[in-house]
Amino acid sequence: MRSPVRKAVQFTALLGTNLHLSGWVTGGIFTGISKMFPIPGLWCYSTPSSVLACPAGSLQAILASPMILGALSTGRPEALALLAPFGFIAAVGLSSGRLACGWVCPFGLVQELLNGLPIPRIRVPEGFRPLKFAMLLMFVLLLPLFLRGSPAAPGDPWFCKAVCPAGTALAGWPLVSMDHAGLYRTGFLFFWKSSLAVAVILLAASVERPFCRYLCPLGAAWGLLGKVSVVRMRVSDACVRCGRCESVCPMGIAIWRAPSSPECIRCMKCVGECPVKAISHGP
Amino acid sequence: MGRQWTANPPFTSSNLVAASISLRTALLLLALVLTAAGYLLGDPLVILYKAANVCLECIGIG
Repeated sequence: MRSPVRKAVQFTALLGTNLHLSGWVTGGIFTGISKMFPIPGLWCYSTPSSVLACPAGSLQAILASPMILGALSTGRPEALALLAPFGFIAAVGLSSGRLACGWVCPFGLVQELLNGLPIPRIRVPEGFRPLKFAMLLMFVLLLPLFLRGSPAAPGDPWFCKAVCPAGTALAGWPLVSMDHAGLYRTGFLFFWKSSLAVAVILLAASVERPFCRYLCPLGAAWGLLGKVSVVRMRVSDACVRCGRCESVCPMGIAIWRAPSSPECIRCMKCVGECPVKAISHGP
Repeated sequence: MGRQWTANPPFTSSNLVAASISLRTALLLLALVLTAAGYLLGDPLVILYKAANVCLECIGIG
């Protein structure tokens, strides 16, 4: 698969997610019913132009809702709302692992565009990669569900609140800068999140997809589910171990060594680069 | 009398691959059914309420 096709799909997904372009002028966000449905990628639903929901945000919103602990412990039907974001995230991952990261995710595209800037490359230790699994477990699942004043009190979407640079850069900065009515009072949290967003943006210019590699909880979930996904990467015996696939991989992995790596975003760059056509993608 | 496996043995690699694909497809279908159940039987308005209002936590305010 050639890269221009992937770029076309990525830009189409970016545009399709952001049809409410007037939000960038008015400083308001879209409030239509489509906001109930998530995009297979990470994109803050408070971005002025966004017409869809972020799956990670949706999941945290339900886990942090005041009724959920009681509904889960008593088996009330409100708890079934959890199935929507859980099922969606599982369906995306079980269909083809992190394919959505490489082809659809708008924040992945933003990082790729930043990486095109002429800035010297740096190397980040590989040991930081498991951080995204901790993000998924702690900040998306456990803290929103259990960290609350009382069982009936609302929790917080901790990944959105404490980490997510997409929310800060694409929703926080524009909304705060267009806040002529003085609705938003910035404080330490805004400073902290802005610092983190600046760090990720600078890092994205020097390292390919740093957020996807080290922080993204959706990438973590889809990477794990990719091990049992319907469509998978395959490396045949024809592989001559030349390493060309590894040299073009935006996630820096050796696909010939680990075809089902949870890091693989299935961008297919390696498929086109392989001199003996040993790499394929299929059931 | 023992069963003869020579004509159509059940544990060939192609049979195992087919079973694996079927299992993975079943998992995917289950996830899709759960998603639909969540929207139809649960209360997805929680998502809409959160997404259609400015998420103060997301933008670094609240």
